[in-house]
Amino acid sequence: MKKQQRLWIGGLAIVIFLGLWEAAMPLGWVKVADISRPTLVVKAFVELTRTGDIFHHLFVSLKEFFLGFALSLVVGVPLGVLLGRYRTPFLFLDPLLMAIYTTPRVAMMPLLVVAFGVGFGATVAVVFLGAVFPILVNTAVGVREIDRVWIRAVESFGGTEWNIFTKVLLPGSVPPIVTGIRLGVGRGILGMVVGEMYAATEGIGQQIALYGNSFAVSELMALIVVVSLLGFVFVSLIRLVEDRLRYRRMETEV
Amino acid sequence: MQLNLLYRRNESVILGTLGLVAFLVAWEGVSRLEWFDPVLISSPSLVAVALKNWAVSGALARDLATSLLELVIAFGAAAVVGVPLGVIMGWSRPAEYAIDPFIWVLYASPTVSLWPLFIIWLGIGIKSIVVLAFLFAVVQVTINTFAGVRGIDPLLIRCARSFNASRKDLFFKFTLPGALPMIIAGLRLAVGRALIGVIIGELFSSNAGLGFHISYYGAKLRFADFFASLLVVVVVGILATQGIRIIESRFARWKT
Repeated sequence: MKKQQRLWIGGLAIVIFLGLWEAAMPLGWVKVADISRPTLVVKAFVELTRTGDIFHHLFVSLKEFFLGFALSLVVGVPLGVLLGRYRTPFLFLDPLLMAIYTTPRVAMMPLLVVAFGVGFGATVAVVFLGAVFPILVNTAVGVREIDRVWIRAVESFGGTEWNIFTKVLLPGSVPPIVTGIRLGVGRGILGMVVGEMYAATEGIGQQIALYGNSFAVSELMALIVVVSLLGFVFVSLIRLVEDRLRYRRMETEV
Repeated sequence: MQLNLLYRRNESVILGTLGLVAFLVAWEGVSRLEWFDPVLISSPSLVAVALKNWAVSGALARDLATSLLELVIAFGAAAVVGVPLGVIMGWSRPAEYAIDPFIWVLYASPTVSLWPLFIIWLGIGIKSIVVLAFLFAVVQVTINTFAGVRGIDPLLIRCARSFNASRKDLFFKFTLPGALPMIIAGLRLAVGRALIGVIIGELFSSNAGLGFHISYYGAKLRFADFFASLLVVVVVGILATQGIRIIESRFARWKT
């Protein structure tokens, strides 16, 4: 019942929004600027997919995103586990990591472009930098919050440090790692778009900048919808995993 | 023995400072020995000189004032819009269902992609930057406020109701104070996001501000000046966040 209500009220709100938007330009409510219309945006989207151009750029963007994100997982999770387990390295690196964490990573674009090259390299780097910190921090916090009883249990049965990592710390910190991944995906996609908008020769972000420069509002909006859907789908999928994990965890704790 | 005790008490400060110093020394050393291209990575001493020159020339104050003005407008607007919006969403189910889809799309999608639209509609300059930073921040404020209002113990509300509290009392004496810690936490996160919005906007197109300084010197390959501006951004971010954190801890104390 509640779910149904959520669906139809939410749907109605979206329909009203689209209706107002559709009517705004023809009825002359908005005179100063071109805000386009939903039907024109759909037409522009169809046109973009018909020429197939958009798929190439989407592919380029996704490649950059997944490579950068994979790198951030490979670096973020093990480092997070280490920093969560051992106090001294954590205290040693904490202020430094916090300083980098508070730096807007996208502001490093000029440096990254010179260091890794326009386009692919710089975008992968900025995706990595955006995604790695939420993953690292959440992993470290997750590891630190694991009940020490489990660690002592492994120790008292003669388990090695390696056993502690693989049998307790990694599985135990999966839910916070997934939370870190969700936050990381958002930052990563932000990085991807900014990176490509700032300096690139291909990719969705570059296309957005291109159509923006030529004042093609309808095409621009179609691309924005594509990027937004991308982010929305990714985040929603991970949220689903997250909810399932939390559910299962609660079951085992009963 | 005494020394040991002193160390134990201040372990986090000592080790943290040591980490920072080690990082700076390594950076300076790598640059001096030219293990990496010194043009690219610059060095702490060069950054310090660049920062000094920037401050002495008076440009630092000007850039800082521009960025702070944009930050304050965007953040203020986000608080003024976001808190009531979150309260409405938390207060009424139908309102939540109606607003929720828009907030989630804004939250999950990269807001920067709207930047070219702002340029077309509002032109290059402070207006576009403020709108971008506002959008970055307002979502966070709204979501946190909503969660705070919704998260209030239903038992408390029922208790108030059974003592015949009016809707106004319920709102001002229970809902708002109960949600306050979450709201302030949201504002703390939002100020960081607003700052990122300001920097991105200035990075893309402006002729003043910290982000402009970053892109200008980045493009000129003067990375000492580039790092100096990055450093100032970090300091602004930390100060703004810590400022709100102080308010936060005061309220947290009041709550318990």
